Amino acid sequence: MSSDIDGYKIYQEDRKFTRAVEKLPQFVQDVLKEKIRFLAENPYHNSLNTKSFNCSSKLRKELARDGVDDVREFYINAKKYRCVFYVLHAKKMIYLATVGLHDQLNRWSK
Amino acid sequence: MNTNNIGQKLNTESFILYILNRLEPEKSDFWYLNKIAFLVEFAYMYFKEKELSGAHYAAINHGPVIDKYSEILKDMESRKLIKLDGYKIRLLDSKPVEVSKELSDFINPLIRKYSQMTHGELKALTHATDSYQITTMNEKVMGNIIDKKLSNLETFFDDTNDESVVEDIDLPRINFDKLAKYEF
Repeated sequence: MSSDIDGYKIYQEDRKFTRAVEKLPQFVQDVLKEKIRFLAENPYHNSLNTKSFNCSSKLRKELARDGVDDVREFYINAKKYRCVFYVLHAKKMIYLATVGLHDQLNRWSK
Repeated sequence: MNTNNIGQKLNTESFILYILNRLEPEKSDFWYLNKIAFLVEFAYMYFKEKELSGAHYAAINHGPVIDKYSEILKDMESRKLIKLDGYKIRLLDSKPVEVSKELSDFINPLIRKYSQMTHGELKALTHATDSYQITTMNEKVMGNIIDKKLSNLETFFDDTNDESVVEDIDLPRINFDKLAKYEF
């Protein structure tokens, strides 16, 4: 199934994000898939409880040069796992930045 | 005292009795029982990642309810465990359902919390859950069983604030030359 659900298109870099997801427990993968569907419909979908990701203004400016309007995150499961994504409104695009456990995010995102 | 449930999944009847034992008499009715059972079960699934009881939950017009709750309660009434009086449920068997301390520590506060809500508040809360909305396809299809795994979507159970800990360096810039569509 393509990611072209009406609304935003979901992108990742190569299959980097998918590979990170494949390391997660299966039930977390299932939930994440469901949440990404919501994300495709509306990056601010109530069901996702997304919140702005806490990053520096320096990084925000750098990302803004890529066309990134917003950096947000949502929890996948009981706050153990979370997903960080970028929103590019002009391109109606969502970029899946990283996913994982709090303390694993650093390793997985590199 | 029923000690068959310690350390294992509660059967539906025991779960119902456990809840009824903790409801104030004026709140011991179909509405509170069904909503509290659903919320407690799904909160347990959300945090513990395992089932609390053998109950299944159907998504109907009135929101999530214990599947076949009417038949289950009538059967319990026939065995003199409860007395049904319209929508009210009176507990006749006062024998407590014993569960582990860990379990009671988890579910008792939830039963207390949700039993303090009004019918309207419980309706609003349960109708708004992703589990219910997905199962009913946004309230268009009624009667399906709610997959308990959908409890993982109910992040409202976790109302603590948590700050982001990922540092800037971990977030990638977008390399537009390597973009690939995410495939579901």
